[in-house]
Amino acid sequence: MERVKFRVFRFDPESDEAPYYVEYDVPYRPGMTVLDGLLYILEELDGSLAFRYSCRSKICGSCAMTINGRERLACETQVKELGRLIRVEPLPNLPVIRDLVVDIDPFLRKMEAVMPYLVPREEGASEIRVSPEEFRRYRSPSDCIWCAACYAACPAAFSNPYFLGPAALTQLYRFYVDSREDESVKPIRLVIADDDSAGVWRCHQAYACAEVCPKHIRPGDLIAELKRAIFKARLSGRI
Amino acid sequence: MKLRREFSERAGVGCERRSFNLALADALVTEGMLDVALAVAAGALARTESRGAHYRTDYPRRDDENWLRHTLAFYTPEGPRLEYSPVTITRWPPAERKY
Repeated sequence: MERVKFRVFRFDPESDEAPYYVEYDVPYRPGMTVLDGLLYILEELDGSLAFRYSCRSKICGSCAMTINGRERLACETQVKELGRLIRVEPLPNLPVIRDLVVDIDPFLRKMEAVMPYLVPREEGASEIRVSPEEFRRYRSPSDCIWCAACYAACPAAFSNPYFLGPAALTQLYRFYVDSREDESVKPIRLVIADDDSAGVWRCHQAYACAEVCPKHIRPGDLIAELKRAIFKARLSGRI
Repeated sequence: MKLRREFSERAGVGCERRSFNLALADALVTEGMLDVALAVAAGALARTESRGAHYRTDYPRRDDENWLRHTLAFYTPEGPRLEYSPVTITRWPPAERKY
């Protein structure tokens, strides 16, 4: 493979009436990622292309975009596995700011809504020990890098603007099962998760989230766990 | 310094968009890197010794008597101005590292 074609979604709401696609001819080199290709386009072919990136190594979650129809991180996606034509588009279900850059504010507001931070059980305690067994409960969900790939892929979030979506509910679960958290906070988390239009009951278990998560988290499983916890809490009168 | 001046006087940005102008961001980063590179080069040129990663074939030895001190570089339009400050030595007295 000597050269690859990048078919890139372009749209500037300030000046364009409608989105369009531009094809760029990019020389392939071994190990090249989609982000490397976009940087080549930016530096050598077209300085007007807009995309968001930072760490280049699957840590920051900035470069989530739609690559050949699938929500992925540009920095970890190898050009080699995609073939000669690569279609690059912004994440769906979020407004386009320009080209491949979407406005992630709606996503971030939902992340904030679930209190994505620990409320520790002992006030002023400098250290709360966690056993490996306790940590295992939230080891995977704590890998989340807030890239919004799952949120963009989720059909339930797409059809219901109030639904918190897989990433926010993953955060909610991650702190709900954290053994360091104050017990009085747990019912509050469950009540948020139980909200009729925003909460877990809007999830149809399509599992698009688990399909696209670059960190191999399975939000659908965690949401099912939350449903079970809500049910038990209701039966026992805790919420 | 000549390169830095050339950059200020002649560098342009090919993209005039108002949002997410990555070409402009790269130009600003390059400008900053040139300033930092000048500061590093000026400090290294003045430091007539070798120390850690700073190695000079014309001054291959470490010289604590004259150079056990911090270089402070200040921006001026004519190029970096250098000052020096003493090293505060607490628990570990400095010594040459030998492997």
